[in-house]
This record gives sequence, structure tokens and C-alpha cells, in this order.
Amino acid sequence: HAQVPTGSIAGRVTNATTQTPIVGARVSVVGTTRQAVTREDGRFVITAVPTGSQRVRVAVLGYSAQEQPVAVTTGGSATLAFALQPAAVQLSEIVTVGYGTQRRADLTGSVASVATTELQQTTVNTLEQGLQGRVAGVQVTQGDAAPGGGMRVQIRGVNSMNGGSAQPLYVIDGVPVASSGTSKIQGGLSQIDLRSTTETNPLAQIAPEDIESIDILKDASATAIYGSRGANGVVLITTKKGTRDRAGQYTFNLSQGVSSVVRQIDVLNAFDFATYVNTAFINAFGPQTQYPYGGRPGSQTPDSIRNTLGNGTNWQDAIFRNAPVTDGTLGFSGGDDKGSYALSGNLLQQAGVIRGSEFKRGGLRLNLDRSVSDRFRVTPNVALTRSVNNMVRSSTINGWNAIGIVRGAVTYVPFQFRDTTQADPRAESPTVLSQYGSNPLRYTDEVHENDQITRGIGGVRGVLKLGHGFSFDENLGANYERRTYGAYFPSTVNEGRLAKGDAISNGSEFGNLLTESLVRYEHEISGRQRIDALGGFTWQNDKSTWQSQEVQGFPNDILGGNVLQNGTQPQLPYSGLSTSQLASWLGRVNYSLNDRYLFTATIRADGSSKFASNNKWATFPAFAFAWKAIDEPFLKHAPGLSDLKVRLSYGKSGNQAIGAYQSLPAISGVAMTLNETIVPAYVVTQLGNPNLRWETTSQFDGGVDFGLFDNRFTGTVDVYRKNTYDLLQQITLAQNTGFSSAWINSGNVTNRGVELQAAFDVIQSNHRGGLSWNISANASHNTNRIASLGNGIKQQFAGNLGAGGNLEVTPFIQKPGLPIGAMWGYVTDGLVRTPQDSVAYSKILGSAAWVGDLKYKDLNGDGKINADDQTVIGDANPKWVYGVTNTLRVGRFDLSALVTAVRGNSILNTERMRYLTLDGTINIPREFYDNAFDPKTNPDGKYPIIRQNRKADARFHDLFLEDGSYVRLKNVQLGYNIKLPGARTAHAYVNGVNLLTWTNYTGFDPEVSAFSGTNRMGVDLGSYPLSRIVTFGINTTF
Amino acid sequence: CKDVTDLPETAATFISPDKYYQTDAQAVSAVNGVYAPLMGWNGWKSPAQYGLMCDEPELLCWNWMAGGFAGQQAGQWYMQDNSVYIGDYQIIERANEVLANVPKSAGISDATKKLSQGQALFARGYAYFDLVRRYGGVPLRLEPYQPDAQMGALPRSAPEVIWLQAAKDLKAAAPLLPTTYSQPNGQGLPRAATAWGLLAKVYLHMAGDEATGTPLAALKSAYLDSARLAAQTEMADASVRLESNYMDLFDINKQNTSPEILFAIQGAAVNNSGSQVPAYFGPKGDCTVVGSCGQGFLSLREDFVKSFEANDKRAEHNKAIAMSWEFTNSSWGKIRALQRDSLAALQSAGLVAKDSVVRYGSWSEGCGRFAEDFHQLTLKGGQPTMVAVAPPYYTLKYIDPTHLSTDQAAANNFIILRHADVLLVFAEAENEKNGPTGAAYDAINQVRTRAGLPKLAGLSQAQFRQAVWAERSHELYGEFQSRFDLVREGRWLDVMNQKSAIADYASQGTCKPRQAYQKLQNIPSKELAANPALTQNPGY
Repeated sequence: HAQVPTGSIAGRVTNATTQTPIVGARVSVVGTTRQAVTREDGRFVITAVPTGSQRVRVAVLGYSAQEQPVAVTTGGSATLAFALQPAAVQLSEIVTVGYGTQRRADLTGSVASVATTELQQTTVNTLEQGLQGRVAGVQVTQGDAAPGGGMRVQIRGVNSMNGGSAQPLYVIDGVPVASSGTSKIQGGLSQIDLRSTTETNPLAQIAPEDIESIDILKDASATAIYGSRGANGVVLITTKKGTRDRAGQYTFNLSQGVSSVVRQIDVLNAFDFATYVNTAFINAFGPQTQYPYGGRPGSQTPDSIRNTLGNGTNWQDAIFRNAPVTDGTLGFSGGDDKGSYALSGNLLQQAGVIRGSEFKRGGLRLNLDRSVSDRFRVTPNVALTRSVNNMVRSSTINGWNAIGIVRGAVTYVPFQFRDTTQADPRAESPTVLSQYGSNPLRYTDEVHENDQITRGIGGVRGVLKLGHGFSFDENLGANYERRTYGAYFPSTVNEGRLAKGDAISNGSEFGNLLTESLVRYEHEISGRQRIDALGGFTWQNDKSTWQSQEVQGFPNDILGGNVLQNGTQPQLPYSGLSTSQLASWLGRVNYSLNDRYLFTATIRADGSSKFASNNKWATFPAFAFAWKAIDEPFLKHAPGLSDLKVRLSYGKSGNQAIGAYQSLPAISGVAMTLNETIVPAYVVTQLGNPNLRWETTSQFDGGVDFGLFDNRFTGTVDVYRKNTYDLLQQITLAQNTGFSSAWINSGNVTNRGVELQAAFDVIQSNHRGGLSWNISANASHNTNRIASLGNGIKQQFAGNLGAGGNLEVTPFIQKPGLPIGAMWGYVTDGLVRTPQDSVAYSKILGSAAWVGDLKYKDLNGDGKINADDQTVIGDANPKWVYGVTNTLRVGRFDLSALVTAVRGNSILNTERMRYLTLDGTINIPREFYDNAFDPKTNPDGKYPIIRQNRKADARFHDLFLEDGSYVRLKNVQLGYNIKLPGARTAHAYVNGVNLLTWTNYTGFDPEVSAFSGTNRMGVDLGSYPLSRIVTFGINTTF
Repeated sequence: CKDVTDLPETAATFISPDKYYQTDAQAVSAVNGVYAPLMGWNGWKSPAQYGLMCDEPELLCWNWMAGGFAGQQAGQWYMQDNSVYIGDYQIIERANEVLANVPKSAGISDATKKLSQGQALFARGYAYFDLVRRYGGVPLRLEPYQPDAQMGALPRSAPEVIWLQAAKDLKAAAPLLPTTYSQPNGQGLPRAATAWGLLAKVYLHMAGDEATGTPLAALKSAYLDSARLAAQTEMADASVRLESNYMDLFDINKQNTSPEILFAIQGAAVNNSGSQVPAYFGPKGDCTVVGSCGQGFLSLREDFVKSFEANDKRAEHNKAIAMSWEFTNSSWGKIRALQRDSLAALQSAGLVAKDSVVRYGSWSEGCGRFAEDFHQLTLKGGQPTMVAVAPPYYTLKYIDPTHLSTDQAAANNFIILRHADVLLVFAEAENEKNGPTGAAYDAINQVRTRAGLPKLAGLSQAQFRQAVWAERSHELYGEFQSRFDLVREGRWLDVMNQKSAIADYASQGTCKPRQAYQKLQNIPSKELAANPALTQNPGY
């Protein structure tokens, strides 16, 4: 052949916004096969480029592609500089994976990322909020909308049904962090009433402003490196570091705003309530009965109540408020050629929309990086945070009259029958007290609950380059948490009335030490094959201790529970400690052939002290293959196609969701008295299980990443199938054993699903300041199914919804063929509307059914209404979860809007269980009053007749469930880049959270889950209501 | 390094079983654990006993407690649990642990071994006796449970197997138990007389209606004789005698040293160590005599109170039985209630302008015979203008005047077996076996004399039988014996289904009469779900 004259092109690719180098960008000469990939410093060199006028194109995921013309001369070297505009969805080119990082292009597993810029587009106070709606396959549900409240993060469906946590593993800068914390309710409180379902969120201590990126490992190929803890997915959090070779810069962010409750429930006013109560008596005992507001001497009538009290008190107005929120961070970071530093402090103060609730957090973080020599680099980091959560009893699992503020505010008597004989203006009359309990303001103002967490996370990592591609990586990490919980229930509320003031003081301490020794190896063979490998050993030791004290009998409520010794009746104290160890070998090999065929093999062997003596060690392997099809010659010129990669993976990971010591047999003390004296009594309290082990999830994942039109449209589609077996279950033993339950491995659950994630630059700006519009969207669908419960068990039920009243039901069924979260009960069939119907239906029911009562369907047609007529009436799992973000930029303005949506889940609204008794004992939403059946005035009413002597019906039925689908304008931010003298950047914005929600749900909000466990999802116990937050803020760098 | 590979786990919060049962003190603690479930949530703390209490003809109980017998859905929650079953098997399992581990221990003295075995055998015998009376044939476990692949699934044994096991355990326990304990222990642990007394009762049941259809029926005469002899052994025990004053049996200061009480479930005036049941028996709204205020859920039926003979000390006004208390939980607000005597006084003084008897809401038990009525009075001029007089009669057997404030801290013990019961067992067995002999009269008349009643004489065998049955009801009311007695006597269904006196209630159609199948209680649903080898008692 004739030698074609050639030259070379060199240059650098940077991020136009941050001026930082872009690694892994593919730079190609259009119309030729010549190309290169940018190195760590963003530089590239393409050799043997035919001379003449060429066009050079740069494409990399997460940025708008760019082309530039260049003239190439024979033997010459042309220079080009590319500054790429980030796409709205910035898939960072470097992705943190377990124990290392990878170029996104080289990933073989399913890893989703959320970048700091995305977090900045919203006002979030916790990192889970930042995940909501951003990532396909990650469902984030606010369990309790209280400031600092708990969130449920679930990746690719529910794997476990033991009622414990199915939260992912959180890893902050390489240190796994226990997400569960220590329960504030450990120990045995004397009254179940004192247990609040208000969850606190341990991850609420991490300031989102400190986060550089969040990477979520979803498939087994990615999670297997975390072995026995990876089955629920892994969330890797990378905090902000300084940048080398950059002069020190300050960042200062401040936002201030107001939150307000999104909706209130329309309840009866004083007149209607009194009429309602009277109706209940008249319908029960006839018009001649003496009904409560009947105008007898000393009693009122609805009219007299209206005349003196007007509409009465709407307790929702009394407890809700507009609450301020302030969030500020100050940081200083920079670096020289040998290292970098970043120091930041943050402070958040968020009052809740219910009086008395407030969350405060302060934190300090220091990240350092230093190259001690050419071969040795150390990166120490430390973070200290402290949070104070002043909680209110928004909801409880009590079904009687200590029901929590939110339920109480709806159902409390709307006029206060003040006891005028007492000086306290809040003193309730004995009637009101016995029927409705203490008024809601006592709970907001007089009950105190306080949860304080002090946490330190830190570590030192040293990396030593050994030469020949080897390096040695040693990491020492520590994590410490001190948590104190204090509560005082004064004698003015039910919880403290009999006890004469009840003070609780709990403390817990958690410490964790981690060492990691890793060897890495990188090698490139003749430019066509690359190999990198990782091997190592890690050791982790956890220790936690806790104490709980409760004292009753306080002479007065003035000092609350601050001075426990003022109480005259100390209860038995509780304490405990547990330690556990986890030893692990891990290894991973990535092999790349022709930069097109990528292989990954991962293995982790975990030894956990928690596992039983016969099963101390577990091994979790995974394999993955990816094909960068876009680099195949036959696709290179496919019209419109700019990126295409196909991924396949299979592997196993585990869930060791058991506490320490669960496999050991135990003899413990129990309560026993003889002759009025407590005597020692010791019995076997726990059966051992020497075979107890982890749950294993095997997962298949297939995915396609693609880009169209110079990556103007990018997308990812993943399908997966997970099979979780050896489920850890606290199985109910036959009671004749003398034991109630034992931990065993039994049963399996499958999850199948599809995840779609796409980004589209609808309008691309071709000049600085031009209009750009980007849409990114994700959708995920998951099907959960219990394949088997094992041990020949046909079905079982999760625990009660609560204690007392109508909460003593177990609607959550677990049965092969059904999902975890299926709800079981009767199907209603309208009402008994005529006396004839009453006679006919009473025969089927087996007891009297009165006109106006609910009817149930005789599903099996046996002429009886009994337990066999129950069926699946709901499912707590959503069919689809969506998130859509629109980002617009023009000139100095930017606008982003996040819409989240959930479709197809049922919510168990426990409040409907109380409203539907319609017996005049509590206030009810107007909807139930207006639509109650009455043979004369409302013969078509859909709810039962109002009647005082209604027999409480223990049947659980479909009227207690509601569709939980919703669409929510979750976040809108309008920003403006200000030219601020002396500032490098200044971005001012106004941000709105939860501005609009479209739903048919009748409770406060459909995003609700009172229980954190997986076996009772989607229960509304009257959780802290959602608030709308509008903030103004500014982010600046100097 | 071995720690890294073996990862051993040593619990810091409990004791490993292989380190236990090594000293006398540990054996004592283990035996205490056997008896602990009796005052637990599966025992007498409540609600495990509600079903029993609401199924006695002496007691009036509220709808929600009515155990499903009155057709009330609301009452079914505890029947589904019916967790006495669970408590009994906890006792059995723990007794089996003691019986398996204590005798083979090298560190425990022979005296303690003997005592522990006797106490464990008694407990197991008691638990099987309780189980077979409630549920019929149940699974039999005589060894500690070892985890198995069946998760404890085990079929029923025949009722006679359980009856015989109960008798065998009690008979084996009696010679191992001491005549008395050196320290008073509140009768929370059995002595020899306790085992003989309970054995007598077991034999009487084995000769009773429950034996119908089992091989035991053929041996009726032998079991009557055994009952008689076992009772005589108890009666010959010098440590046993009747209290001279009936209500002293229920005085918390005297219960623990009473020579009459043979076995009682231990309450204590320590938080969480007592039972809720006293509050249930407590006069409604009265916060001065029982912990956590009386709830008034359990009162005595008027016709039962009226069935006492004149001057019976067991029904003495304001000493044994009191009438209504303040009634606060009304929609009308706080209402001052009056003693029934005062109502009559008001009426005779002409102060009452209007008196109407009303049925209060849905709180009565539904069936007419358990109706709870109130007098609604309007007084002529002056206060109070509204007065309600509720008719309930309250037993004062469960009053703890020392502990008033907090829940579950009543010191009242629940008497399971006392000498008067054994005397009546003897009288009944003797009469059935030999007719109304002098010994039979002597036994029943001891009980009557203590109650301040004349001695019986000159009855036929059938009359004597009726007299013993009536005496049991009057002597042991409110002591959880009645239901079992009626079933044994073969007349539970008849007595419970006697026609309502108030037609008004029957016509509501909410009253569901007891049915024959309900003679046995339902196996708790938890057990049925977890034990596929078991079937529910028919009818449920």
C-alpha cells in the first residue's frame, strides 16, 4: 500500500462548568477509525490521523457531545481543547463501586448515581430525600414526615419478611455505617402506650451539602463485593474533597424558609358533632331516649352549643403551625500539587409543622489528602455530627385513647368542656377525659420527647504504590454513636396519669472498628487487553450497649423527667450489650478485551460471629459481562446511535439481618413473686439454632445503556430477577413446645422487575447563556411474590397493627403466590338497606344484622360469612414508581422541577377503622357524616348508619383500604446566578417542596408507612403530616 | 487468629444452658421459673382468664368480655388467643427442663433434688389438669423440647391419657413435697396436702361427666373412691384447717399464712407483678380500694346473690358483697350513685319525682339474664338532679386497700385450691360412692358452720348431691371454679341456657345461647396455625 500521510491530534477535555478534567471521554476523528480515550488529567493523543481537514468529536455519558474542526498536517501535532457542558443528568464519569472506582464506560454492573448538582437542585435535609425520584429501582418512602423522621429506602423490592429492616447497606467514604441505629425503645417499658411509632432517621445526621456523589449498587455483580450485607443493595456515599492545584476557596450556603401543613381533614364542627352524637343515640334507642345533647337540665343542645361556642375548636388549627427552617454551611477547600484539604461545617434548624417538634443538626467534616512521597499517599478524614430531635407523639400503636396527636386532632371533641373548678385553662371535664383523653395541646406542649445523637465517623487510608502495577491500600476506620432518648409524660395525659408522671431515660452507645488491607493490580497487555484486580481482607468489630430507665410517681410535673430521683416509683431498669465481628476475604478481577468486551468476577467470603456455629462462613460470587457494542465497526456508523452497551450479570449476595446471639440457646431471668417478694427465676428463654445463617439472594440482571443523536438522548434499561432463599424468619413454633418462636431459615421470595432511566436534551444550547431544556425520567416496576414459606407452612400473618381497640387485627398475610405486603380480609357488599334484607342477611351472617349495617360477600358461596370468605383485598407494593426532572436554563436563570409518582399500591388507613364505627364516640371527617346511611334522609348513603350501640366489628374489610397512588410536584427550584463582587459564583434561588399532590387518598398524605419493617408496609396510623416548604437560599463560592 | 476464623460468640446478656443447673440456688431459681407463667399474660394477669370468668352463672360481665358465647365479635379477640394454653405449656416445658436437668446435676444436694422434682411434678400435673378440663385431649410432652423439623407439631393424645398423666404427676409429687415450708411462701409453691387435695379433685373429674365416652367411664366407682381417699389424706394433714373467718381468705395480709389455702397464684404489690383481674372485679369508678380504679367489668348476678340463705357470711352486706359505686363513665358526665338501700330511702321519703329503669347502651351482656339496668332518677328540687343507681353487686374478694395508684400491682392472690374445696370434693365423692354418710355430712357441715349456717341432715343421696353443688357455688363463687364444676356435674349447658327473665333482651336477637360444643374451649389460633398435626375442637 501507499503510505497515507498522517499527523496527530492532542488536547484536553474539561467540564465547562467546573473546569475539571473529564476522564474516559471518547475522542474520535469523524469518518475514520482513529480514536482515543482521555486520561486521568483529561488529556488525549490520537496518532496516525490522515492529514487534511478533519472533524474531532468528543462523546461521554453525562455531557453534551461536541465536535470541532481541525487541520492535520503531515507529521504535525494539532492541539484542541474541549469544554463540555454537563447534561442535566450528570452521570459522573467516575463511579464509586465497592472498594474502588471505575469509569462509567467500563461498568459491567447496574450502578446508578446521583451527583451533587442534582442534590443542589432541590432543598433536601437528608440524603434519602435526595434519592427520592432520582433513580430507577430505588423507592424512597417517607415513613414519618416529622423533621428528622425516618425514611424507608428500598432497592428492587422487598427481599425479607422477618419484619426487620430491608434497608440497603450505607457506606460513607468506604466505612459501612449501621443504618438501623439503636432503637430508642429497647428495654421493656411498663406501658405499651409509651411506645411511639415516630421513627427517627440515623442518616439524618449527614448533611446533604457534604455529599459529592451517591452511587447505588443494584445488581449482584455490584453488590457481591459486600457479601452478606449486599442483598438489599448498597448506597455508597462520597463526601466532598478538596481539589489539588487549586487555591483555597470558601463556600457559603444559606437557606431559610417556612414549612406549612399541606392539607387538613374536614371534620365536623361543634353543632354537627353534637347532632351526630344525638343521632347515634336516637338511632340506637329510639327518639324517646335521653341523648347526650338533649337539653335536659344541665345539658346542652346542638343549637345552644352553636350559640355559645360557634364552630367550636378545630384541633388541627390548634396543633399545626407555620414553622421556620434554616440551613447553612460554610466550607473551605483547596490544594497544592501534593495534596488537598476540605473543611466544612453545617447547621440545620428545622421546626416542625406540629407545635413542639423540632430537628437540629450541626456537623463538622475534615477531608485531607496528602502525597507523602511519589509512592505513598494518605487520606485522613473525620466527621462529627450532633443532632437533637424534639419529637411529638404524632402517632402511636395504641388503639384506645393514647392515640397520638395527629389522630387525636381529627377525632377529639370539637368543643372543650372545660372543668371550671380547676385553675388550669386546659383542664378537661371528667366526661371528656374519660371518653377522649387529654386534649391534643397537652401532647404538643406538655409531653416532652427528645432524641439526641452524637456521632463520629473517621478514618485514615494509606495507599502505597509497589510498582509493576501493584499497590497496597490500608484503611482504618471507626464509627461511634452515642444516643440518648428522654421522655416525660406528665400526669395531665393518659400515659402519665395513673403513673403520676412517667419519665423515661434511655441511652445507647455503638462503636465500630474497621480495618481493610487491599492489594490492587493493574496491567495492560499490548493495548488490547487490560486487567485490574483487587484482593484483600477486612475485619470489623461492632459493640453496642444500652440502658433504659423508667421512673413514675412525680409529685409534680414542673421539672419533667430531668430529675429522675424525684420520682417515687422507679421501675426495673434494663440494660444490655452485644458485640459482633465480621471477617471477610474479598477479590475482584476486571478484564477488558479490545476495550469492547468487559468481564468482571467478584467473590467475597464473610465470616460473621452472628451466624450459628455450623455456618460461620459464607461465600458470595458474582460474574458479569458487558459488551460495548458501539465500538464494533458495524455499529460505529449506525445512524443516530452514539452509545450502546449491553450488560449481563449474575451473582449472589446476602442479608445477615439478625441480631447477635440469635443462634444461641439462652437461660434468662423472668419475673416471679412469692410471698409478696420478687424472687429469682431463671428459665430457657430462647431455643438455639446451630444452623442459623444468612439470607441469600441470587440475582440475574440484564441491561442496555444507549445514547442517541450524539448522546442527546441517553437511556438505560435493566431487567432483573431476584430469588431470595433461606429467608430468616422468626417462625411461630407450635405452642405446646413451651416456646413461642424460633429463628430459622425457611422459604423464598422472588422479585422481578424492569427499570427505565432516560435523559433527553430537548433544547441544547449552542452558546453560553442560550436556552437549554433537559428532561430526565425514570420508572420502575417490581413484582414481588412469596414462592414458599418453607416447612410446609401454608400461610402466616404478620403481627397486630397495634394494641387495643380496632388495631388488634392482623391483615398482613404471607402466603405462597402472594406478595409480601398483601392485605387479607373481607369484601364488603354495600349495606343492609331494608328489613327484608336484614332478615335474609342475618341468616348468612349467623347473627343479627340491622338495617344500616355493612354486608360482606359470601365469597365461597357456602351460605355463611366466616373466615373462609376472606381474600386478598390489597397490596402495599406499588406497581410503578416514577420520577421526572425538568431542567431549564436561560441566561443567568435556571429552573428545575421534580415530579414523583407512585401507582397501584394500597394504603391501610387505620383511621377509617375508627371513623366507620359511626357510633358517636369520636369526631369524624365530614365525608363520613354526610354519606352515612339513613333510611329516610339518606337511603343511598354508602357508609353504615350512625348508631351508638353498634357492635364493634372485628372483621377487617376492604373499606379500610385506599388507593395510595399519587403524583406529586415534589420540588421546584428557580435560581439565578448573581454577579457578586468578590465571589467566584453566587446562585440565589427560591425552592418549593411538596407544592402540589394529586391523589384520591383521604388521609393526610399517601406517602406513609408507620412501620419500618417490611412485613407491615403502607399502614397509616396517623403519621406526622406532610409539609410544604418554601425556602429562599444562596450558594456562593469565594 | 482462631478468633478470626472460628468467630465464636459468647453472649453477655444471658446464660448458656450448659452452665446452669449446678447449684441448689440455681435449682430453686429454675423451679421458680416453672411457676412464673401463672402470674403472666398467659396466666392470671389477664386477659387469659376472661373467657373463664365470663362463662360462670354467678358472674355478670360486660359484652366485650363475653367470649363469643354471646355472639359478640368484640369478645372474640381473647378467645382466639385463649393463651392459657400457652401458659400451661410453658409450665410443662419448664417443669420438664427441671426434671431432666436437676436430678443429673452433681452440684445440687439430694434434698433440693427431691424438693425440685416434687414441685416440678406438681406443676406439670396442675397444667395438664387445667389443659384437659379446658381443651380435652392435648399434645403430651414429658421431655424438654428439642428443636425439630416439625417445629413442634404434635397431635393430641386422648383425653384419658392427659387425665391419667395429671393424676400420675400429682401422685408422684405428693411424697416428694414437704408438709410445710419453713418460710411462709404465700402458698405459691405446693406442699404435700396441696398435691393430695388437687389429686382428689382430678379423680372426682375423672369420675364426672367429662369421662363420658372415654375408657375412664368404666372405672367411675374406682375414681370416686380414689377421690375420697386422696381427699382424706389431705384432711388428715395437720397443717390444714379452715380459716375461722371466711373473708380472711381474701385479706391480702392474711392470705400468705392461711392454713386453709393450699395453692394460690401470687400477686404482689410491686409494679407489674400483680394482676389486672382485681381491677375488673373492683367496683366501677372506685379508686380507693383497688389498683388502677375498679372497672366494674365483673359483678355478681342479682339472682345469684338472692340465692344465699339468710345470714350467710359469704354474702354479708359490705363485708363480702357490696353494691353499686359511683358511676362516672357516662355520656351524661359524672353521676353520683347511691347504695341500693339509699334508693329505697329516697323513694320512701318522697324525694323521687321520676324513676325510670333504663338499659344502658350496649354494655350489658346482651342476653337478658346478664342485663345491666340503671335507675334514672329525677329528684324533687335541689341537687342532684340526675342520679343513676346501677344494680351491680360486687364481690369484695379482690380488694387491695394498700395499693391504689398503679396498674398490675394488686397484692391479691388467686386461690386455686383451698381446704374448703377439698372438703366439698370429699363430701361429693363420699356421697356418690357411699351415699350421704356421717363423714360426708361432717365435711359439708364444716363449710356451712364456718359460713354461719345450720348443719344439713336427713337428705337423700340426690338431695345431698344438689346440696353439695349449691354449696360449691356459694363457697367458691368468683374463684374460677364454677365453669369446671358445672361441666363435671354435666349440667353446664342447662344452667347457662336457662331462660332470660327479661324478654326485652331476648327479643333483640343478639343473645346467642351456649351450645354443647362450647363445653370445650377452642384451641388458640396460634397453636392451630403452627401445629398442623392438631385439629380444632369441633364446632369452632
